Amino acid sequence: MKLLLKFNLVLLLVFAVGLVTTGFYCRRLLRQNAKAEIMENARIMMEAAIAVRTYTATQIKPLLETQMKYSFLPQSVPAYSANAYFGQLQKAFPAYAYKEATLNPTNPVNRATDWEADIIEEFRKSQGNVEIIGERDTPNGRALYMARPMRVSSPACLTCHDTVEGAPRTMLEKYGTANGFGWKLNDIVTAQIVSVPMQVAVQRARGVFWTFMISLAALFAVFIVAINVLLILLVIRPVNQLSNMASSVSLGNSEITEFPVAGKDEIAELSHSFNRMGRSLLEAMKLLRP
Amino acid sequence: MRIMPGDMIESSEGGFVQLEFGNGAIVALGPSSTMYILRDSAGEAKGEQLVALDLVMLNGWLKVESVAGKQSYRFRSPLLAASVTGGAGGTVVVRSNPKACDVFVESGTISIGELNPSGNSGQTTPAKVGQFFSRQDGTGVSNLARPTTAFLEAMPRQFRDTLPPRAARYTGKPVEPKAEHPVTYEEIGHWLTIPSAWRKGLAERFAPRLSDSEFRRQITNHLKEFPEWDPILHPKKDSESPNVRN
Repeated sequence: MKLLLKFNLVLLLVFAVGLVTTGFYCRRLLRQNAKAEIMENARIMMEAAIAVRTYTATQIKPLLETQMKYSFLPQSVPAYSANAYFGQLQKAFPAYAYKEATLNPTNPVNRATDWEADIIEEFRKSQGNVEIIGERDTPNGRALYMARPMRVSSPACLTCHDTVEGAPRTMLEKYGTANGFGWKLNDIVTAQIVSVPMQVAVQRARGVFWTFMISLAALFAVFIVAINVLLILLVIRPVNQLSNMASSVSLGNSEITEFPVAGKDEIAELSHSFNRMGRSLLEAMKLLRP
Repeated sequence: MRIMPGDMIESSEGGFVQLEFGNGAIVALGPSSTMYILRDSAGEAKGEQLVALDLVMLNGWLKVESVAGKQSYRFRSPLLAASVTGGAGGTVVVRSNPKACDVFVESGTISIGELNPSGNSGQTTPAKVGQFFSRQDGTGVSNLARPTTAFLEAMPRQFRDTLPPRAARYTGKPVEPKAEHPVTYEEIGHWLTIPSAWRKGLAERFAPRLSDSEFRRQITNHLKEFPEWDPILHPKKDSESPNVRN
């Protein structure tokens, strides 16, 4: 087996092992980063929803209190504000979603679907659970969801959700008497659910991964070519020439000239030694001739 | 501009007037509205039963926000009367015209009374917050749990909010009203025919205008509608009963 082939096989083996190992860890890291990014997005959305709710409850609702005696203004309801805010956001980012899924909502838009109802039931079973995170398939691709429970924590909530008789008339005019009543203090009735698409972050991570791997492979390829060129120019070609000269000398050819020596590296030393050996050999052969 | 008991206030078409009283009560008049301040003793109220503010409204829209305290407030149109009987105060919105009157109880302890043609109310009905009372001329009072859509749609937009106090802005900047012209019959005729219980003193107040021949002619022509002008127009005939003017 030729020296060049041996070198290349070893290099390829090392590079292959390096590439696979690097790829494995890189892929895992990028996936973790992508998931962390998705989680971060979900948390920002959740906190934004809570901020909008708080703003509505503390600043908008008091301003509309008198108007609410004339006609019901959903703008005074924190859940409505949060939904409206994310409705606007969805125009630019359609795959992102927010919902205050409720088992028995006043506004039918907030009614919990099957999987959302399961989450609410899960919160009800494990009272200390403050967050549920999971993944699910949606028409927009796989999505991560983050859910937090909402409890009837204030008797003020029951003004609208206890009994039909006690509810504001203006609210009944708008939503009727069929839904949104019978809530109990401290009950978990709603889950805030934020849904963030995974596809974008995962695709971005995949893009980064392949860009990195292709760049690394290209670097390896350039390295191998460079090693090959250097090997041929600095080692293989001089060694071949020395080998050819040695063969000529061994066959009795006394007309050979000296091997050209350049530099001070190991091949140059070898060439010096070879030329000295050649000259000695020729001197010896002259002495032996009659 | 400072207003006084006995002032008659009219808002223009599209106009909006806000009155603020010494005890913090705020009254707003909507467009094309006419109101008469029958009594304002907000700054001198002492007794529990004292009516601090007594307003008469003939046409248009009125919103009154009274304040908590022992004083009571009364707002009357020819068909309905609304009284805030102290306590936590109260807010009512009134729409009135000669043929109908609507009252919406926005907040507070309010009682609603049906008025007879002489302006006296019979039995009063305690009203719940959010209730809507309506009366057409010649019929009884009806009450609904909610105001009608027509009422809400016609109501001035400003009335949907709490009336913001603005008097402090004008502290130290008094505006004195300017007399434009002597009052004409056309301008006060509708006040002279309000229920007799409310128009006491009006004849004496406007009697000096009888020097104007047109004013005298109109009073004479409508004398049947306000007989209290008769002894003023014909003093000799009533010389035997001088107490009429008191």
